Amino acid sequence: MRRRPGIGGLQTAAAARDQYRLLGENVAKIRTDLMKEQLTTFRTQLEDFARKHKNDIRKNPAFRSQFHDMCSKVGVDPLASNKGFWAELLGIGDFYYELGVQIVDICLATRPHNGGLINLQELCNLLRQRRKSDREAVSEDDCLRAISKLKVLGNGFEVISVGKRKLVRSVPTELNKDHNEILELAQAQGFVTVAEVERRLSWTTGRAIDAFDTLLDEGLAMIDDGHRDGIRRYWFPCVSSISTAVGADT
Amino acid sequence: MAGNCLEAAELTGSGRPVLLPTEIECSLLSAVDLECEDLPNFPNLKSGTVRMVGVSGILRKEQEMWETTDKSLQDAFQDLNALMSKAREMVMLAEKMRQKLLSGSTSQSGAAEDEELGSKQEMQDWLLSVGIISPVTKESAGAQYHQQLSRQLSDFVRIPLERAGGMMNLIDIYCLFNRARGTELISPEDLLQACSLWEKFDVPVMLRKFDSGVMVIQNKSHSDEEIFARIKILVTKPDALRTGVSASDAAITLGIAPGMAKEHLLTAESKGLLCRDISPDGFRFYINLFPEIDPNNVYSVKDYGVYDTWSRVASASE
Repeated sequence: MRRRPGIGGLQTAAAARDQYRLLGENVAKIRTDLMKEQLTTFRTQLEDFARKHKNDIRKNPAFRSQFHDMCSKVGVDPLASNKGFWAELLGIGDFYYELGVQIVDICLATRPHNGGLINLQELCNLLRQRRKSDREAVSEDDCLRAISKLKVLGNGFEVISVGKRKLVRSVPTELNKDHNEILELAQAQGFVTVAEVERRLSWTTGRAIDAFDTLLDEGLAMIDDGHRDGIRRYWFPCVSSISTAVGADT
Repeated sequence: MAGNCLEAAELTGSGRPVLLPTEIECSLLSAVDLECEDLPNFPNLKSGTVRMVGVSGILRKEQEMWETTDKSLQDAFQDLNALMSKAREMVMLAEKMRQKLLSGSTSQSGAAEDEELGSKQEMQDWLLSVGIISPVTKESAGAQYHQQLSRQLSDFVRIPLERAGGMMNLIDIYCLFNRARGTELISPEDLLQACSLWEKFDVPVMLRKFDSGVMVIQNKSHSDEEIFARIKILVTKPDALRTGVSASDAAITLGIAPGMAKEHLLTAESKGLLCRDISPDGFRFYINLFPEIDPNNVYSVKDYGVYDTWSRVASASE
């Protein structure tokens, strides 16, 4: 536009500014439309995928796990909300949310026995027993995902690794390094003695007893004084390899 | 794909596999020719034809079945990959839009602002559809879905809250609500978002987070002061003066869950109302007598006050 001097020039400049502003608004509007369009395309693509592979996801835990991994790499959370496209079209939301409810139940039922710390394997076994009549198989990976969702509710639901096992915590107990080391030792036979802890970990008696007392307080350990040699054994239900049928029949 | 299921075998110097105690060596033949030695006129079955006969037929069928299952999963993975790249595009687009809305174009006037708010709402809804949760902030009211859920929940929790004494664990609400729903369950995040929205609406319930991270919902009318008053009464009874109060004792007297009781006792302690005592008998709470002790004259006991009551009770039990 040629710059014209005088009032004419000012009017032209004002008109130009207006036009730019309108253009700016239009650009925003175009972007919104673009977003809507993209969303519709995405939804259609997801519908196609669901039609072909919904069953694969439900029946095949390995495929399901792969699906989740890819989603998190991309930055979407298919389990974030029941209202998302994923839950709506693939129907996996209900599966995991219900799993969450069942996990909470089982942890509550076994808490008197293990103090709020349960072996992941045992949890999965109890789950499978409970869901015997149900259609879909539940893998450990599924349990882990359901638990990671429960975490946001603030009750201390968390998975911790002790040695080569994974334990699921359902109470806000703080376990420090000392406690973890004792739990790791206990995995071998299900119990430990003070002497063993002193020998294997090179701790003082005081430190060992302190740790044991806390574990007893939290209900994670049980005392066994019934042996002929008179040595006290501390048992840890959460790491014992024998899975008991506590609460499985409820 | 099958090749990754088994561990690699150790090889000897000449390239032969080392067999472990229970292993035998076998291999899959791609073709078998069968010859009958007894009957010279029996036709030889040579593999290489597509007809499914004899042993070769069985082996071939097995292989084909393997390959078709493999292929359908391969298809699934391919489709999955295509879907994910589309999803990635969506995420990037959503980010751009969100940045634009956040950076506020506050320069625009009245009518445009309404449009802005409208599109902010739309933005939230879209993000939710794609699977990106954006937290409830002062400015945003979250997705429409969560707003509706929020109102639904405030109605639903009324009765359970009454029964539980005015305060309930968030996780218990999650289980209760989903069990009642039956299908189309809500996710833990849905619940959290919906409860966080309560402070924006005029509802009689609120979400509360304790220092330990535990989250509860409680009636707005439920006040801490009332609970503390009841705790104080409990803890100044003669028995309690002597042996203190544990979480389970408090739970029974106050009529609330033991976990909640512990939270209340801890909060009361942080307010200076109680003192803790950790001993082989467990974790117990006593009334805090320190405020009544004069630091300049530690042994004087006034004729009134809890210290006086305590010292009388304590000496009476000797």
